[in-house]
Amino acid sequence: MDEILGLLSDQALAFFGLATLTLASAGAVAFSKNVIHSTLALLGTFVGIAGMYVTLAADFLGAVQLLVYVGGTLTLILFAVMLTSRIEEGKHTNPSRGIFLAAPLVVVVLAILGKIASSTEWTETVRPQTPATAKLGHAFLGPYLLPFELASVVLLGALIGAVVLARRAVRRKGEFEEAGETEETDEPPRGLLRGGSRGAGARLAERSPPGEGEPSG
Amino acid sequence: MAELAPAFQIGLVHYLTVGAVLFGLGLLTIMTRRNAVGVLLGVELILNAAGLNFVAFSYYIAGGIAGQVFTVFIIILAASEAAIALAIVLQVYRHHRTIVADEVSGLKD
Repeated sequence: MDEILGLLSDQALAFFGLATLTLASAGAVAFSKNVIHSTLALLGTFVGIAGMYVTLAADFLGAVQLLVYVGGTLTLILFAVMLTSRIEEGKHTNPSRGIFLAAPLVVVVLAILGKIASSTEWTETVRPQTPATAKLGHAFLGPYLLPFELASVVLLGALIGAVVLARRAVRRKGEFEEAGETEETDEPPRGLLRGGSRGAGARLAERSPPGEGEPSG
Repeated sequence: MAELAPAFQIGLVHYLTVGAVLFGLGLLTIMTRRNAVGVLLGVELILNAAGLNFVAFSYYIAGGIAGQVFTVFIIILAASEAAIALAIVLQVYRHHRTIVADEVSGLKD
């Protein structure tokens, strides 16, 4: 019995530690004034959730959470933050607005969720902690084969879409640097596809006298 | 077991509480942030809360592996959503030189 009690308190200790880490980091994500701090605080949330997956007998999911979220998504978000925020200009890079309108709404939503969760009779059963990786693999290649393949198609589509979108942006940036000071002005850039040809045409028109650059009939 | 330490028995409700608070914080982030990347962080919080709820229900109520399968799908969709959304954010930044959502009001040029 002492053994069981010790086991339970260990589980409770792990749970409360992970919950504290998760929720404190999530609070920093929600309320930090610096977008870099928000992004880095997301690391704590992801790690805490991964630990909770492990305590819920989902060891494979814990590893996947660490690999995909911490190694992939978080790095991606950090890249986006570095590329888009003018961090050196000020510390208040993550402004928020309307907290007094949003907070009551969130409280109402949480109250509804809590009422539903407390009024439902959950029939909990305590299960042994068994490894889940093999079962997950059999599930993916068995009853969930079609969603699994569709997910790979979705990932491929997202990959190609992200490459196309981001590549266009980088190419336009290179053209602006080549064209001189165009990037520094506040003038809104033109359309994506037309921007390159118009920039080249403008440069050509600057160099050559009018009438010579344009093929006129 | 239950009568020995009722206060320290971790059950489904504890995990649901964490998931609900995480969801609420994500909702708050989405509603209040003006930085587009900040809004995406809120989306990530909500997706994590959903995944945690799936795994908790799968462990305590349903048994089996279905909840974990759905959490894998959530992770997949979150990864693709982050990639696409951040590429769009980059494009918006190239166009408008800002990603504050209130200042990006034009649909074309």
